[in-house]
Amino acid sequence: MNRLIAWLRVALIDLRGSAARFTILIACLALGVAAIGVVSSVRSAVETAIARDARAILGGDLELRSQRTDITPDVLSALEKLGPVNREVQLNSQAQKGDLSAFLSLRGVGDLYPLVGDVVLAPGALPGSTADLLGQQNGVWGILLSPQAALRLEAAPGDTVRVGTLELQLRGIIDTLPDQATLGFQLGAPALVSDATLPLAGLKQEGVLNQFQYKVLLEDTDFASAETALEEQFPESEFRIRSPREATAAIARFITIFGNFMLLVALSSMVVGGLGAANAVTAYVGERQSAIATMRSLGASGNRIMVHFLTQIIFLSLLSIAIGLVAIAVGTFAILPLLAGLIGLDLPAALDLRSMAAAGGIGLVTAIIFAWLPLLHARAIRPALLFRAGGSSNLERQDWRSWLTPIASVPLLIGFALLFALTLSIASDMRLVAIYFAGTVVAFLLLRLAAALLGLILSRVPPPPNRLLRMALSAIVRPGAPTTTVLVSMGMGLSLLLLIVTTQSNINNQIATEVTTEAPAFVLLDLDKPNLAALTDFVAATPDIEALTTIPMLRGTITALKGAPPPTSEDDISRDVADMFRGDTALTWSAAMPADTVIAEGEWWPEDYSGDPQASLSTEMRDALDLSIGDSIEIAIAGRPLAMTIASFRLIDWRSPNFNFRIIVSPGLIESAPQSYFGTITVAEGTDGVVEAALLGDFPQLNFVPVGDTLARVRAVFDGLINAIALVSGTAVLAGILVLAGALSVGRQQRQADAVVMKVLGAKRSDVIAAFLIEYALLGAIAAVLASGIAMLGAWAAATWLLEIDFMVPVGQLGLVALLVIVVTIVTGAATTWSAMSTTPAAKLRMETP
Amino acid sequence: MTETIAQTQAMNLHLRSGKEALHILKDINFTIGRGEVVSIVGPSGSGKTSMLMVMGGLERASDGLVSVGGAALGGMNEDDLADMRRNNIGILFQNFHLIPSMTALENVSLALDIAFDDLPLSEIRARAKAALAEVGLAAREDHLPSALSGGEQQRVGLARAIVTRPKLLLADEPTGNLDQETAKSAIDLLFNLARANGMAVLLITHDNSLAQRADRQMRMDRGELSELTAVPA
Repeated sequence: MNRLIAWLRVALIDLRGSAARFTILIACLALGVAAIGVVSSVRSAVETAIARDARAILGGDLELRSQRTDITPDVLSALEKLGPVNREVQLNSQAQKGDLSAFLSLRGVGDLYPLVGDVVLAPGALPGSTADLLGQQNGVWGILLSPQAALRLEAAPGDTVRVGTLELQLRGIIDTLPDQATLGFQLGAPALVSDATLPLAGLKQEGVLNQFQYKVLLEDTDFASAETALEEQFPESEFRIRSPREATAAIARFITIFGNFMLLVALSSMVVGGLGAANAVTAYVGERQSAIATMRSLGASGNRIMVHFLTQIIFLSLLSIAIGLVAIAVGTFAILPLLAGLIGLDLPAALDLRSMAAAGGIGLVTAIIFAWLPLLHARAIRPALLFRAGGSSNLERQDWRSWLTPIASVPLLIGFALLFALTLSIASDMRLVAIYFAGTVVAFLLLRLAAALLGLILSRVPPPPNRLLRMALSAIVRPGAPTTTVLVSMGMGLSLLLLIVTTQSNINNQIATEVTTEAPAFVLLDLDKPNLAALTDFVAATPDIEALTTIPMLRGTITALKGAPPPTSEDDISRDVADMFRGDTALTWSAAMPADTVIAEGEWWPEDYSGDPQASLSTEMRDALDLSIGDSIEIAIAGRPLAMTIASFRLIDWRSPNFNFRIIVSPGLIESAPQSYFGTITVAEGTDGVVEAALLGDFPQLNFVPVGDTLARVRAVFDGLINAIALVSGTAVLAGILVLAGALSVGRQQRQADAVVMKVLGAKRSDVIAAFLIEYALLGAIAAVLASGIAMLGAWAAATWLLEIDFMVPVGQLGLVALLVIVVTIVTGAATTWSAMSTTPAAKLRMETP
Repeated sequence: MTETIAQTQAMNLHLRSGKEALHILKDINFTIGRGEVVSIVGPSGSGKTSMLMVMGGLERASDGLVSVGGAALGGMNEDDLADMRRNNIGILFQNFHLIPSMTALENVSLALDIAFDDLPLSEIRARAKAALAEVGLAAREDHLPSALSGGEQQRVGLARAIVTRPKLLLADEPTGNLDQETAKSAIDLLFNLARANGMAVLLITHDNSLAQRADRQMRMDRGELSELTAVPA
């Protein structure tokens, strides 16, 4: 024990004069620890809040919801026996104020809203409870708008806005709603009214995108008993029942998946930082060769040398971790209140010790893993070195086979296993973590390989005629140059950032393409025949409207397939196909084959077909239900069974902006069945606003979705998520820059010597500086090209397999990033080696004279 | 006959330089006894330093016997050789090789730290201070090497080499980087301390006047070692 303490003491004494040179190692590790810790702590706080506030997030103990149609009075009466019930109708509508309009996701709520939790309004709201604010005052009903809607309408509390045919008073701007987190993505800007206003405004409550929700505060029963009782009492009903836990499961799952992804991005900054640690330790060991050999000559064993330097690395790592932990606390406390406002959860400032411990552990293990090979190098330094003349601070190259010896490979394997376990302890998805580890190793190897190949190519190209370029190239390829280090460490962070930038650009392109080239301006829902006729006249009279297309929609229940009863929920078929057999399903009819239809099998019926009913089904139905051309399908429409023969199967691209129905029926009998219509309106470019105002003027109760607005909201959601990822990946880039600075400064002495030789031989100061700058610019450009290659590979894989969107290379953005990287490399290089560039030969030569 | 501290018998050293095989030391038979001071002179590249390295277990002889303190070095691995050095050998370098981040006292303490596993810190410090006092540097114990002159640095090196009371002190051109006057005082100190502590000294030097002060004088030429004078004990 005394022996070990003595070893540790000497190690720390020896570190005293060198601690300052580890600034970059400390910064890299602290940054990595902070990034991982903050992400993990914030995620943990969100998960805890979701679990804790599940009841408030659902808005009660039990939720019963029904899509499109309201529940029957007997179901309502059964609910009321369980405890207080609050009714809510969710639909889409437009609000108007003067010439301005806003597309709303409107919630019509009962007087008891919210059953749990509180509605928080922004300052300036009129006084009163939620029920007061939404209720009738002096004959006028109230509305609460989200900040986006109020901004769009330029409305403030006290102003009047119109929804449908009803004038409402804006009584407050919503800050947070207790159940905001369960709402998920909404087509329009959130708004709250009393459900009593909906019929007064002439808004149709039943519709394809509308939902009826009943929240219950259970009094004398628990959720399981209430759910069982309701399902037994109403076995044929289409409603769905959720508990608070079930309601929050989807959000919790999203937070877990997104949090895991962010954690891995944060881990990348640690990996890059680890490369920095490896560089720093290699340089340190290189410069301490003489001290190591001296200790060896005094009788220190190789193991003692290992313990000596390992102690120093662990001490420095602990110092970095301590700084990182402070940063975690600061970061978490800063982010939680901001996030709480954004997602409507109560996130009290608290530290998550598990996250902090894991982040610290990952920092320590990473430092040791990356320092291990340089430390083995230190262990192998022989005292005979002291008797050699001269000597350089560069370590001799080690044979790669030495990495396979047990002392090298076993601790590294244990280290990786530990790192994997620590990562898994906070990013709980084994598959994702495994893919990440594999991806990181592949990216690392690719960069290493590319750097080696590049060295080989550059050393074989004929020397360029330009003297400065020639000097810069030779500096890049000469032995001991930091080229590989710079390319690998910069490349790792940069690849990640470029991957994210490219993916973001691809998503935005996809959305933009659909908005500008394919999507209509408005989607019309729940049109009835009289409406359709009036709308057709309106379109004819409005020159800005280029086209109106409509498609009928019917609802029916599939009663038989191939002459047998349809599958039940017990059967093992995919969820989306199984949902078609739960209650009724949507279908359409058409004589002509809709545009862009792809027939996978069979044939479309002739346009004048009027024979026995036929059906065209999606290939998903064929595959899930094992159907063939000629099989029978029976659908009851308005209670009347209609037997059909399957004539074709269609491939459906769900990403296309067309209306897609899994079942299309041939004309003939079906036209007389009760049906409503969907429609789309295409307008001349730039006339969306004018047409929307005209539509609202003539059809205040029309249910339509402005596509541009909705896609902008989709884009905003993606942008928010991707910006958060980009922010975290920025730490990896920052780590990369730190590593770059470290790598370049390691060669400062060599550069100083080069500069002196150049100047002694007659080069001007400007020549020396220009040669260095060209070298750094080349390094930056090469790093950008390599990282772009790897990032494009990753972004292509993500676009093709994960997101299923078109892949495009964002040439402009890549060019901009490449330019930035070159500038950063030049600036970092100049900052770290300025003294070398500007050394006068006399100063250097005097220093070398004993 | 005094006790033999180190010896070689029919020792050869071959090294490779690129594709060329070099015969550095040729059939060396050498003995050094307790308290004996032996100097080796010879031109650059004659093999003097290689001889020192073999004696210190820093280079392995290609064949023949090398023993220090009665133990043959041939079968030892790197860690055994390190043990052998810490128990038997002190080394004094031409370039001092002090650890720049450590004070004079810490540099000397380092040798004790490495040599003795269970020596209390207070004892380590006391012995290191005493060694520095022996070389006349008690007042400079808290100075870093960069704050010491060349002569002072060599004296710290000497204190570090003798503080563990090794049986054999290997000195490689110890005055090579010192002016004449400083060199003389350093070498007086070396001889006095060695004799006072009964240490054998193997001294490699270019300086004939310095070599002549040894008990025995030898010459190395093209890897062959020969006796020049034998001073009666």
